[in-house]
Amino acid sequence: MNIIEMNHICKYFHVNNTQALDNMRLSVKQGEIHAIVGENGAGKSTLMKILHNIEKCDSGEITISGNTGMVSQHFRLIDELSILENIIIGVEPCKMGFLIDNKQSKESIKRILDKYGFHLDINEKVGNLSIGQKQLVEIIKIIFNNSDILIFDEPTSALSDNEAHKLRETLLSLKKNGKTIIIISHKIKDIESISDRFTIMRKGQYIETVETKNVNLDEISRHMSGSDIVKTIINTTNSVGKVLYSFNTKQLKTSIHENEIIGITGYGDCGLHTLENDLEEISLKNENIGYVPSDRLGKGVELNSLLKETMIAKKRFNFSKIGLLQTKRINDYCNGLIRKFNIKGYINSITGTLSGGNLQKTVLARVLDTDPEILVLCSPTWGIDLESSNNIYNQIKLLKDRNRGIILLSSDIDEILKLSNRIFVMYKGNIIKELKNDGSASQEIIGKFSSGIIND
Amino acid sequence: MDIFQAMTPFLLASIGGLYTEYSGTTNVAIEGYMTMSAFLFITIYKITGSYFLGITLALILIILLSFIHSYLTVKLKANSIITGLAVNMGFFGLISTIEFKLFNTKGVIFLERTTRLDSSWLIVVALILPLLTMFIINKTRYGLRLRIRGISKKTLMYSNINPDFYRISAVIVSGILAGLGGIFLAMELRSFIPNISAGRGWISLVIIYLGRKHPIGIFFGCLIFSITQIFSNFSQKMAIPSDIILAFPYILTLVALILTSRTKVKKDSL
Amino acid sequence: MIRLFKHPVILILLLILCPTTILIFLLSNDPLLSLTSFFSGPFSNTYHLGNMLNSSSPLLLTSLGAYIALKSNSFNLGGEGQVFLGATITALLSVYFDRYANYGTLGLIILIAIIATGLITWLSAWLDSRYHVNSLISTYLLSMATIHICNYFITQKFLKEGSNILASDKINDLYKLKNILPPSTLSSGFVIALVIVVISSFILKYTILGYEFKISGRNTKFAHSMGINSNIYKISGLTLSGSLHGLAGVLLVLGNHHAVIVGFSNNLGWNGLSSALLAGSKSIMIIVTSLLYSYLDSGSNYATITSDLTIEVSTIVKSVLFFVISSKIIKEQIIYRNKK
Ligand SMILES: Nc1ncnc2c1ncn2[C@@H]1O[C@H](COP(=O)(O)OP(=O)(O)OP(=O)(O)O)[C@@H](O)[C@H]1O
Ligand SMILES: [Mg+2]
Repeated sequence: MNIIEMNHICKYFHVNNTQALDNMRLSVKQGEIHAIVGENGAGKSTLMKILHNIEKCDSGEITISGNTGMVSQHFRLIDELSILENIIIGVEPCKMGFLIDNKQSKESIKRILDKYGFHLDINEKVGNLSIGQKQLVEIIKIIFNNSDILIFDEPTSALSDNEAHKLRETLLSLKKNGKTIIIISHKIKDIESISDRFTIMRKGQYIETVETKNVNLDEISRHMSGSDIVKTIINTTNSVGKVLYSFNTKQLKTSIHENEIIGITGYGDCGLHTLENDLEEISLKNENIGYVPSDRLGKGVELNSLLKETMIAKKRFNFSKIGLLQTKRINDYCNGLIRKFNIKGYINSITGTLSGGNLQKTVLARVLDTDPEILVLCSPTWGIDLESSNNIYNQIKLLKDRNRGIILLSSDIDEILKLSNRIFVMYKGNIIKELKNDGSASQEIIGKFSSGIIND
Repeated sequence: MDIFQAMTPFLLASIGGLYTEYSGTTNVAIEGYMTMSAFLFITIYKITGSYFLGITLALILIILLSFIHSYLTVKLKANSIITGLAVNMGFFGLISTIEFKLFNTKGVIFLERTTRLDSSWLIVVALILPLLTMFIINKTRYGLRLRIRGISKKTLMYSNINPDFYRISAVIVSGILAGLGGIFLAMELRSFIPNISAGRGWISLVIIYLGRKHPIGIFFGCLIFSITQIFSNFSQKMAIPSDIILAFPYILTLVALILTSRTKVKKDSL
Repeated sequence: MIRLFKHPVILILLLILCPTTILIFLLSNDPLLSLTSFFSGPFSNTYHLGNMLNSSSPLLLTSLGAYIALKSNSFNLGGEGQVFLGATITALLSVYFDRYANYGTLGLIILIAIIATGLITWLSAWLDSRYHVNSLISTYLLSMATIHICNYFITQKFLKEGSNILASDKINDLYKLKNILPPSTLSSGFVIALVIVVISSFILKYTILGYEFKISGRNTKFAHSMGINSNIYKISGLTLSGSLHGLAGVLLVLGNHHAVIVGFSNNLGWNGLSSALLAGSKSIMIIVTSLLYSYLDSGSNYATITSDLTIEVSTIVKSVLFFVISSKIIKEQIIYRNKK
């Protein structure tokens, strides 16, 4: 039985002349986990927003039997409020119809926490939580809402491996409890391990819906990007050059060399964030250090400016003559960047209207193009589709081959293993282990260190 | 008693304005609402002779006006500062026009000299208001959603709650409370004069900031401002020119703002 | 046809214009005359056209001032006081130093007016960055205090004798701006204001200075990350805003009233703020919105003179129109949303 039927859905955004959805359709069966895949800007988030009735479609028919709850790509939690208050928004248990019943809310939330085995102090302010914990709050929130259909827009992209694993378990147990789940993801692991079926979108159009168990891994990735990807291979055991810079922050005391990538990883609240702040300060003082922030919406791009204005921000003096901006050169340069990094957007569109992945590409394009001697990269492929991630790895490789040094902060262990010469593992605010990435390091070993186990 | 009397219109208007601040916008039409309700109250009282009818009808009309104001602003996605200023202007026009049609004057409307208007209950209302507001904001569903409306409209939308309701209702609440402030002024004077609110609406906006958008802070803001007013009334007896005296409260408020913000760190850590 | 009525913009126009028309029909004995004189009055002859343009010249400057403050992410609510201060300084100094009247003195007086108003808003900006006193509030407070203090000087020290309005003496004929469209009052001040707005728009749009200014106003975090000192831009934005308001006051005296009149700022501060908000993201739009405001003002003035419409009814009509105008910002969005 189909719990959701969407047919002939069209959506056009006039502000940037984009046909986000073009005769799209989707059917989801009762009680299944249905994945939606497709390149950045394919229209996945827009489709889900229409389903959840936040955005209106221009035309099309939608039938839903049940109510929906949605966790959006960028969190919608309120930092100033407590976890409890955030969770109950919309379905507040009340005495006499208007007085918030804290006791009853607490009990109901406790029940959910116990049932799914979560641990949270519900009186804590949301502003103090790590990304993984915030994700958890979002999930509890839609469980609390008692929705039949749960929509997750890229829930795992910001999580570390073990958090993502836990999340997948949670989704499976939600399914067991009779919920229908729709998940958008660029991670093959998500699709392979939990989805029953997945629907592929490209350029706002429906391509096909596939039973997951009938296809293998490589096929999935081909389905997702529409072509075979030539995987970028980066040599992680090459000999490095001379010292470029010696870091001496509270946590990080090491030197970065030419032709070297240092990967720093860890689970959840392990201190990556404070380290990032320190590195940002250093990069501000030092012309030769480029910095790709993990806070892409705040520091990476300027949402209310034109895309071209965002792109030239750091290099602005290269485009001015006696104080005048050279419009033609700026336009050519930005169009070049858009082509080189395959960004779906126009130089004159407002930056904020780009899709999540394309925003991230913009940040990378802006920084990588300044060709810094040392590059601090924080979660570079966060929310980016397979093909583009590969493209970004390729850019990183080119940079490295030009004798640059790169510091990579990421909670994605696969990525760390793929790129780094040396790997640093953080735990509770400190680096507890440094290892060479010469084949001896593996997912499991790093996972162990990340959990604080160093007994060999 | 004197000081509470001076505080009442400020308290009513600024606590009312606080609701719109929570909903994420500033109601710059408070001044207009105060004047309008004072006019409505005196007019209706003069026509019907009923104290009760005067208050209820005036408030009902104020609710209607503030609903139209906020509904149009929200639905037209108009800029709320522009529409607020427009409301101030339009009220001024409406008042003079109606006043001229009804009483053939554009000046003062007097009530009978013998009229006794009991306004003490409004003082009581004004004094409980900060505590009541704290309760509403922190303990009720409406308060929670109102605060969220001010921080993130999208969060409400994702929870399938109509965010416009909270914006509109906040403007209505601020209209009613500013209206009560205006009625209080009219009762005190037992008449309506065109410039009855004399900038009190604007001062109330200042007080909201002076009180750091907190009901108790606003209470003390009103206290400070009333003291400076009484103080400047005193100095009138000295040989200081009246224009200079009129400038006093503004400067003192600014000084108070600076002094309170200096101690901000201490306050927050308490 | 019915489709057309469903169009939101049409619907809004109907919703708002109907009550207005009804109002005019109720309150006027010859509603058609009132309506036509309201809307076509300013264009009826060169005299009225010129007067309309002349009244828009200080408004152009206050709009620009408010706009610049908005773009540096602060609100200047003190426009009224700043205009008044600029006007007061110009008129009073001109009258006081009438013996030394020449262009050099005039230049000096203008400079003093601009610097004084700039200093006031600079103080607000500084208090904001130093003590976190919201500039929205401090500009308003300072402006109210300034108005009263200026009133003191005008009424106590410089009041023109035997006049029925509270005003200073007229300034020297030498200082009056040249009339460029007799018989109307249109003075060269209009051209000056226009040039200033065009140059500022150019700087905002096409120079690196304007670029850094805009970015700082929109997002301090990002600006900081890009190595832009946003604090300097924020402070200078508000300071400049004050100076422009002061200059508007100067124009008001030199080009319009030739004296300073108590309580007569022509609502320049508030209207400037509204017209800046209306202009939206394009600074050159200031010219259009300011002219629109003056058009509505002159229309209502004209209607009061030629028909039985009172000045109050005109303000009601104007205030209703502001709802329409300000919703026009989103007009395009609405049209898009409903276009299938
Ligand atoms: N509010 C908006 N205004 C204008 N354009 C928009 C808006 N939202 C989305 N778009 C455009 O619609 C297209 C689809 O966007 P959408 O966010 O649905 O992509 P997505 O598939 O979720 O991509 P990603 O994987 O990067 O999150 C994009 O080209 C985007 O620029
Ligand atoms: Mg998306």
